[in-house]
Amino acid sequence: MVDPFADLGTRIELVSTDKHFRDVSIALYAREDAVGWCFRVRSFAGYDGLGERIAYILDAMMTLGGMARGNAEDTVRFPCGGEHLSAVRRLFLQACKEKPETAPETPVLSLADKKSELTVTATAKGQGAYELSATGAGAAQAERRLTALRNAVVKLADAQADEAVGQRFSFACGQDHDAMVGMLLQAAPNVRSVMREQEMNAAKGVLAAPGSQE
Amino acid sequence: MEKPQRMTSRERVLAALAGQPVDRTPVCCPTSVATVELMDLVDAPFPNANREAAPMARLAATAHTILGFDSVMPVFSIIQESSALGCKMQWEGKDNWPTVRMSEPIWDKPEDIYIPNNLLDHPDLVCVLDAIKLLRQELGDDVAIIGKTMGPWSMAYHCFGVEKFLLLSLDDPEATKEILQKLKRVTIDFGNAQVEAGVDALTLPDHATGDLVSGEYYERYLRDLHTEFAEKIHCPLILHICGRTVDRMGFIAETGMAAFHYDSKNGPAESMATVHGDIALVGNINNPETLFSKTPDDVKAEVFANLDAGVQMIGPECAIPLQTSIANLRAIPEAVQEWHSRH
Repeated sequence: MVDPFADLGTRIELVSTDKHFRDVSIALYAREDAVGWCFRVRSFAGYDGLGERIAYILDAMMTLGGMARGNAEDTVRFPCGGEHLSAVRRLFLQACKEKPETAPETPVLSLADKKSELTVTATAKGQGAYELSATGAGAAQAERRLTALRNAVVKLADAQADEAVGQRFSFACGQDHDAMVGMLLQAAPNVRSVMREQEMNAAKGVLAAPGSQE
Repeated sequence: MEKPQRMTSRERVLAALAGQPVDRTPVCCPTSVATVELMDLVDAPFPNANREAAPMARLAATAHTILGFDSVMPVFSIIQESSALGCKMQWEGKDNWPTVRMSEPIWDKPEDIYIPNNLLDHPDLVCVLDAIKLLRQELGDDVAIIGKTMGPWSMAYHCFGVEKFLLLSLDDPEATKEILQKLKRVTIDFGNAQVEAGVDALTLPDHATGDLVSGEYYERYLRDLHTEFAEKIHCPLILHICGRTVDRMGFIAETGMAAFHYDSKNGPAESMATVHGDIALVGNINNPETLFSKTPDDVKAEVFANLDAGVQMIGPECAIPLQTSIANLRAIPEAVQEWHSRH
């Protein structure tokens, strides 16, 4: 019997019930090869149509995160070959949330920030560095807000904050990731709820003793 | 005694439960090792796998066929009897555990307790008995099949509500004992029905947990009852109590039960020293942190600590989180093999 769990790598994220396809579980596995980090999307369910669903998620990860097809049909990787663990987990979760009847669009590098009522833009500075700037009324006083959004992107992407400039961050791989930055920028204003959602998902499925249940 | 040459998984588990020599330490989970990925693999998702025999058996078998454990255990939840008794249930979906709505208890005082004579005909108990039969047909005598029958303390939580029952135990010990005496029939009858259906051993969870109940309470209310279960249920019993329980392990070792399924809040060495070899230990691999979110190497380190302490059976401390990775679960039998190759 072929071992379905062999050679998958390390499971780094799991959607335990896919709301868009028969509540199947879909996982993201990571492994490093000669080219760099490679990510496999896998479900163990046996339903017809599952292959198409996996293909959609892979396509969505490529569109939303600027990833490229890996060596195997069910794998993707970043062009830089990096792991970008937090970012790829977020990308996978977002790809699973996308409505299958619509094609995801490449995220733009700007955000209409409701809190500050400014338009926040991320500009690539080369070699994996980005800087946030704001336009609109009161943009000159937006430094704190930009730093907060920068810090949120850093948290979501495991990027490095520039110690000297509060609006700047960069990726250790030294390469640009425009699509991924665009996607994470949209999530940045809600970073707390994004993190809370991840924590709640992680806590689900843990059995508590009757005395600890509500 | 001489170490046996080569045993089947079932022989290994039964020998460990009987305190006899084994060819290697058995890997045994007296509670659930079901995960959402295993559910998909064999098309046996919750809640169906908690309510229908065929998916229940399919999912249980993966503990041996996919994970490489020496035992299988089809009763994933702790609510089958409570459902049969009429508790209000929340069956949940695939990725969460079914629970009893304890905020809506069905009984208020001991006189309210009603156990129907045909309790064992309830569909949520029949499915367990049928699943055991299916597992025996499929796995033959090679793998240990462990069932589960809930203790009266746990059922009292479900039927009276946790807070109410605990307050009663403080205010009215006689009423508390009356409740336990009445509910014990369910434990014995369902346990022996599973023995007839083909189990090799039974887990008996009775949640006098370390955070809510003291060791003195265990002695006062449960030790004699558990001794009675060991006498009246016709197979080896594995008592399961969560939490820090070293303060009652000495009493538990006096009950005549075959094994105690113990929590990671208790150290393997101190636990072994406490029970003096009077009862086997199983469990201890931490669920919420190690199995759920750490690496296979971290899992193996905990397995090695248990083997070094002489713990008789190795497994998770409790029902594992449904999102646990297969790699971490497989690390348990791998670690046992590795340890034995060095010793």
